[in-house]
Amino acid sequence: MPALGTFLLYLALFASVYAVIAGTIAGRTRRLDLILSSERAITAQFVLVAICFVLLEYFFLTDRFDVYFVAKSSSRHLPALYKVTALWSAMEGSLLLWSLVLASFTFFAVHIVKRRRGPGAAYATAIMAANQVFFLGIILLYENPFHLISDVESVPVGFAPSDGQGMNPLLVHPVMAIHPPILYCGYVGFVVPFAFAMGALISRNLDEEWIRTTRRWTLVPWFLLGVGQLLGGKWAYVVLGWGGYWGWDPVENAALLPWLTATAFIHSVMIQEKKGMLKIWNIVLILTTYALCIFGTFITRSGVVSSVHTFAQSPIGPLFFGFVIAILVFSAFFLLQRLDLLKSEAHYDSPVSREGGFLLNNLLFLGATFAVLWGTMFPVLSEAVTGSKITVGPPFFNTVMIPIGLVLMFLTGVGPLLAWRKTSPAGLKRHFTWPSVGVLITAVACVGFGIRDVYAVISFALCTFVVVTICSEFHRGAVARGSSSNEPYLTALWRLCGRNKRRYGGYIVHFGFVLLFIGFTGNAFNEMTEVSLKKGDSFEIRGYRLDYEGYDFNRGPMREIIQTQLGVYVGGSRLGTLFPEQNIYYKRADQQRTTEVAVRSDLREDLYVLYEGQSQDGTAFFTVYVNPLVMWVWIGAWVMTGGMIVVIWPDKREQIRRRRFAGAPQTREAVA
Amino acid sequence: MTVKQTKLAVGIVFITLCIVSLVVSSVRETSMHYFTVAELEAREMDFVGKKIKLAGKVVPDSIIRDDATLNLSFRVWEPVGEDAHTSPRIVRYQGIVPDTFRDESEVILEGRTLDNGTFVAEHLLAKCPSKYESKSYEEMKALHQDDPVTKS
Repeated sequence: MPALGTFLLYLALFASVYAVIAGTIAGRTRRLDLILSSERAITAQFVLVAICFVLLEYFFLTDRFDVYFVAKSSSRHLPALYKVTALWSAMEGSLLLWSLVLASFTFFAVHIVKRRRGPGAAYATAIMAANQVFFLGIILLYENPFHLISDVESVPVGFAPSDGQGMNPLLVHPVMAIHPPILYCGYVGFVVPFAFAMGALISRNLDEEWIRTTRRWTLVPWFLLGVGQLLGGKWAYVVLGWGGYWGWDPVENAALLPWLTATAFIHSVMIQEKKGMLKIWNIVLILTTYALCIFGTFITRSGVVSSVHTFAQSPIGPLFFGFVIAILVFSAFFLLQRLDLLKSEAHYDSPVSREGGFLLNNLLFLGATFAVLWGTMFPVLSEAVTGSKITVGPPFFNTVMIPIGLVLMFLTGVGPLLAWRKTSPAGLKRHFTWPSVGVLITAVACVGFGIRDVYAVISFALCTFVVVTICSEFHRGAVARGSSSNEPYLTALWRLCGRNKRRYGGYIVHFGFVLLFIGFTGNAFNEMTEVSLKKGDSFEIRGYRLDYEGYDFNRGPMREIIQTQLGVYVGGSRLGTLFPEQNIYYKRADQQRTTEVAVRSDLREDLYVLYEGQSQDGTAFFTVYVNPLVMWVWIGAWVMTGGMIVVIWPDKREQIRRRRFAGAPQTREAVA
Repeated sequence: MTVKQTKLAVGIVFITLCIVSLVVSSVRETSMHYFTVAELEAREMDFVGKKIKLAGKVVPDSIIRDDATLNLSFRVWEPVGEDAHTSPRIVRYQGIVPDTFRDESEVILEGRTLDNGTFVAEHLLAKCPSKYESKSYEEMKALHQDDPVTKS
């Protein structure tokens, strides 16, 4: 059976190689039969990889410990759900998941854009298939999850240990079950806009068609990459127990980098759609984004940058680096070849315009990308240049990113109110009076409440600014619509959003981002203390009193659990009880321990308690954090999700418009 | 180039310079040298009293802790290579240490060296000797040998 998996992977590899060749020739010759043939090859590789994936899941669920990867990453005691997710808890399986995501994106992209078949799409098919060739090749050569133990270790053929080694307990968590797939969908999803941009370049069809085709294909990965990172943050917060959700670790930065360039891209494509400007720029952005996605994989998998996330390292690191270089060289070559076709159709008029706002937005996002990349790679670069390793840590990223973030927040408020081409002084006054009043009131209120952190005051003031501009946009639109159609206010508001999903959904996403920012700003007021308590002792932090009420000890089949109990009081009345725990996995060779953080969250702040063990005489050690406003980060993420759903919700009128634009729908005959 | 385009170019260059100078000045203010135990020994003189990062491996049986004050002292030596296990350095730290901190753990410390050569750490980061991905098959077998539940 496992050999069947390997065999199917080879078949998928061949199907992908065929799709590359057929797609390329089809792009050159415009032969319809080859286009169709390459599409069928894409379907084949999708089905084959999906079967491999299901097969491997089957091995996990049935405890097939003769398969090396299953024995290494799963165990009998694992609940069924985590047997499923154990597949992506280590390298081999996560590469297969990556390959499956790539296969699915390719399959759906190819079949959904069928209406607009042409040389560009044919090349795009070939490029997506080429990526699959790379991934399947790596899996088959270096990280085959279907290897038997007898292939890897010197044991008799067919040998199976009585139990597997088990998944790392840190990864046994609901968030960790969905974080990798979502993050991969984000990373891999960018292959579609990348491939279509390249297809457009190679086939010289450089109108806005590729952008229209791939608009949703860009938004969805962008969104998933963002959500994936927030989920990673949530996991770090509740499982790793260092009191925060973002530490500017290289592995986190690796996912942030493509997200930053992608954010620049989804903003600047609007200028190209409306004004036909920035064509070269947009192609550069999407190429960079995809290259950074692969680069991120390189950083996480190669161990080139030291990180607290100890991912398994393997020889595939250099291959990924080579792949990044190949992508850059390949795309730079075609970009330079086609530069003359990428002339701007309009000129830039005034800095105080929508274009100007987008331009500044792009510069700042690129600046942020550069800063993060520089900070992440600085130890490696400094060692290469000066011979001694110099590191930069969270203080560096905070000093650089906070100002950039604040200016971006300001632009989030200003940008949507600026007119295209040029905004008149009267328009500025009309739009910005109320938001500016909001800024002043918030700033004064913050100072009045005793906030002395300058950045925090600015941040809260700007958040108000953006919220007021967003609300006034909704309000103004609804009033205008209501007065022309005589609809009641709320109906007008609802229909307004329905008719302009992209615009108003975008505002909701911005609003979610404001909430995220409020949460981030809370970091300025974090407080942490370490205490050692005997039973009956208590201590105070920020108005809370915590009483240590003792602990329970339990020995289960897998782990020993020490559960401590702390009563939480504010001003004499009991708010509740916290149960921070420590688990000791005594069966593991390394005696791994994990901590279960106890968190008491409300909209104002999190009380976050970590039990760190105890001494011989029964003194227990706790680390206690008070982290204000953290909950707003998670709320912001939900609001962004809602806004995103509005943005990508299918729009009938848009489809009709598009068909009219494209002329008769392209059928097989039309291409032939 | 028209006047508008020139203005635009000047604006872009200006903003780019702002960002670059922000990055450069932040690096200057916040960067720290990163040494392993042996590397620090070689360049000790230049870095006494300066904030640095130090990587090493905890010498077995060297950890002394005082649970009441959370004071901790231990020795680290070079993790790997030719200089391994030479010239351990005494480290002092105050605070709770992570579960992963024990004999043989690889640690990354942030702090300063005193005149007497003791390293006073302000931050302590311990890497678990095992990784997310784990051991060879041999260890796996050893692990389950005396385990009645999984013996079949």
